[in-house]
Amino acid sequence: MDIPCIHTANLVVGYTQKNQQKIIASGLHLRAKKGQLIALVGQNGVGKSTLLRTLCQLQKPLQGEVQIQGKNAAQYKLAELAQQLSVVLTEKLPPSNLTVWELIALGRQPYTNWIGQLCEADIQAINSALDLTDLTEIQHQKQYTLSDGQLQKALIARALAQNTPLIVLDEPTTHLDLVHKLKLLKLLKNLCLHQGKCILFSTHDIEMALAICDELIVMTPNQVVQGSPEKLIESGVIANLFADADIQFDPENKKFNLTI
Amino acid sequence: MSFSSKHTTLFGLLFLAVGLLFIADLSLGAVAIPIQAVGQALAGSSQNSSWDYIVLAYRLPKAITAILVGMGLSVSGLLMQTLFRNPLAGPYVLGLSSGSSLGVAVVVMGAAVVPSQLAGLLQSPYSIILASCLGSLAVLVAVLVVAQQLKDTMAILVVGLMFGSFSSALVAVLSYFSSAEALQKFTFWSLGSLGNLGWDSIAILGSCVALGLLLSVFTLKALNALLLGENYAKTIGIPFSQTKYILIIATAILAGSITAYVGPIAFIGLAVPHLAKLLFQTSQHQVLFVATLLLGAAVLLLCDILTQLPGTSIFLPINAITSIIGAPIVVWLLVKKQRL
Repeated sequence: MDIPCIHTANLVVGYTQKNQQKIIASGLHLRAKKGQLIALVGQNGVGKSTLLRTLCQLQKPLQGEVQIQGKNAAQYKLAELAQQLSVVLTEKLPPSNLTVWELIALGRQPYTNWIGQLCEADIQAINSALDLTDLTEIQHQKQYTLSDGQLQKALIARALAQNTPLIVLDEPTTHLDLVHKLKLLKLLKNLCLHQGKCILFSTHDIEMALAICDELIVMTPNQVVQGSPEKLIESGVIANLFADADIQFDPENKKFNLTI
Repeated sequence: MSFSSKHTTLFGLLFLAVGLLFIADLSLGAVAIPIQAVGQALAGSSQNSSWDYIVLAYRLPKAITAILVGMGLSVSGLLMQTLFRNPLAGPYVLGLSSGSSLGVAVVVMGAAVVPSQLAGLLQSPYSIILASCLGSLAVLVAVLVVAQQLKDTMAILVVGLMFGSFSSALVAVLSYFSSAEALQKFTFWSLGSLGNLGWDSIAILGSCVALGLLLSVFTLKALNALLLGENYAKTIGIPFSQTKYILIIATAILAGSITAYVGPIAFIGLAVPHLAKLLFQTSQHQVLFVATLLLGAAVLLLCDILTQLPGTSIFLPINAITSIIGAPIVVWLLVKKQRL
């Protein structure tokens, strides 16, 4: 029996505002296993970030629980959870003098002592993360001199240095051009294939996700479905993703056709 | 903690600078005392009893106070800049000093308003320091509560300014009703002075600063994580609320106790952490902490030397000097480094 990296049963996500629960999505049955690359797709505002934030324990589920490696995530200590799950968010970094190397080194915090001293193993993990993401050459550059693509890679490298079986990324391909999008997705795919990571990311690049991911989680206002690209195309879930007559999905070529 | 060789060299140089400025501070003043004589006075083998008295009873406590104040205010500024993700945060800018002033005003001038039993309580030497710490704590918590509602980190400065004005207004109301004597006492306090502290006061101030600094040391790792923002910090295992409380308490103790004893001192908490970041070119708080301690001590010793224009009997208030030096530094930093 393989314990899934992340597993939810009957999860309800949303938020509480003025004692009123606002449910974003309910009855979620999701699971992600070692070595899987999974994309979360859905329209703007459908609640992708809310779902990811709930999975990462940055906000509480309204009902149900998120299990990480078979254990309720809420029962982990923060530092223990940080050794299971690393996260790349969309939010901008506050201004600072951090260099790429220092930024990645922060990924080692769950392993360092009270004052944050890096040992030999930490430095090795940081350097190998630099290596995997091709950032070695710019490791001494300041964080604010980086391009969007470089910063995104540096944040991913930080997640890699954190050395967790599960990585969650919120819209990592936003702000990237086609070349960098492809490079980034290939990097994620390779991490799953060769390092056995389980990676879950949200994206608007559905065509790319269909081509490269093992599974997709499709989020619409009414339902959340998880499945392989083939299954999702066959069952018409992808075709119904955008309720818009001007956008038609072509299952043959796995592309969207736009009427302009 | 291991530091790079470049940083170690800089630490060495700064340490030397603090040492030299300390000796200069003892030697310079209305009466210039030769360095040998200062040494003799410290060693207790001096021949000149008036020099002996000046050095031991006046300049030595003042120099030690300068070091404590410089270190404490600078570190509290460093903590706040990272906590508020705002490069312009500092105990003075965010209104902590005003909060302390309000606390002290209540103790000094409120004695006339409250019943006599309570007034006796207000006169105890610890009441000023306690009121001052509570005052800065209140303002800090208020700013923090408002700050959480705001997305724009720059708006926090305006909030700090408003709380500062609010406390000042309350102080003005209090002073309107207080006796001339109490008002005079408060006015002298608010001008700021490093020189009025006896050894027992220095011991209390020293303990408070040491406690504040010790608490800060335990937050250094978390402060590094906070450079990525609150959410990232949580995902790398930092208990954010716990860290926040330690930072608040440390800052309130540092800013509160210092303001209680030497009055509100501007710009040190804002400018020194920036000088440290500029000089050391790093965001690592372990390095910045030591750098801020040394630079803070050096800068305040320098300011203290400048208050007593060498060779003359003219004496300027310390708050004026720190503003005259600090304000241009901050403007210069803003212009030169668009990205602080």
